[in-house]
Amino acid sequence: MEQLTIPASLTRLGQVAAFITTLGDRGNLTSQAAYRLRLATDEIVTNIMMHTRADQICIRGGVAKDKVWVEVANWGPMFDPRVKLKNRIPCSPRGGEIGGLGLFLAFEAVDEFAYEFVDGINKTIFSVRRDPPPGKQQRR
Amino acid sequence: MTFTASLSLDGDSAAISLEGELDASTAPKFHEKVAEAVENNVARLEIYAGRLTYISSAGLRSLLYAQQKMGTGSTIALIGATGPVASVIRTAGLDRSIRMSDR
Repeated sequence: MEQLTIPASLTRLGQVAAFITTLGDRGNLTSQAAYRLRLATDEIVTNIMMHTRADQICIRGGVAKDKVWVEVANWGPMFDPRVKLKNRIPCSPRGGEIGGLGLFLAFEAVDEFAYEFVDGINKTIFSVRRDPPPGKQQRR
Repeated sequence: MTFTASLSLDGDSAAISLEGELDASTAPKFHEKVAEAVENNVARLEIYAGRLTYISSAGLRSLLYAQQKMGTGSTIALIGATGPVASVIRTAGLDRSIRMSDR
């Protein structure tokens, strides 16, 4: 398992990208799967940086037999990102509602997505399969 | 993180060329160029994305901003987006309102 703890600042997104790229390489992810894992992590982390009062973010990740997983933790107020996904539709033409777009992309990018709030810590956990079935690859 | 956005104006048309990784930390550079194009009241905006290797929702918001500011009589074309970058744009549904082409 690998871990990265950073201040909740957009200037640290490059560090997050490097961390996830290394994790994807360790898991031998395809370039598409690696992109999806980076996108999900980027969106979850950016959402915390821009919309919560958390001052620090802890990212953990690991490679399992069938998947590469990431856990993003912060100590801000309880926020379940799945709430934003209810009734969410992609951008509609000409001024459609754009709130929650990042979380929508994160959710769509990964194969598993979960959230828990334990002991004052928000944890968003997600993963991509190391060898996704053809249907999933074709969709993206 | 490396990202550049360059704008060229030609009459009532504008072109923005993107290169590198477009996330929330680099999106302000793109947004700035979009705003500059909009301020010049262009009727057509071409965005060249063939050298764009990564895009997140922050980049998509700049596209939505351009779409909203330019109005119904204008045209926005996204040119050269491939692979995962094009997939993200389609997943968000932006391909329904912004014309995408290979070149």
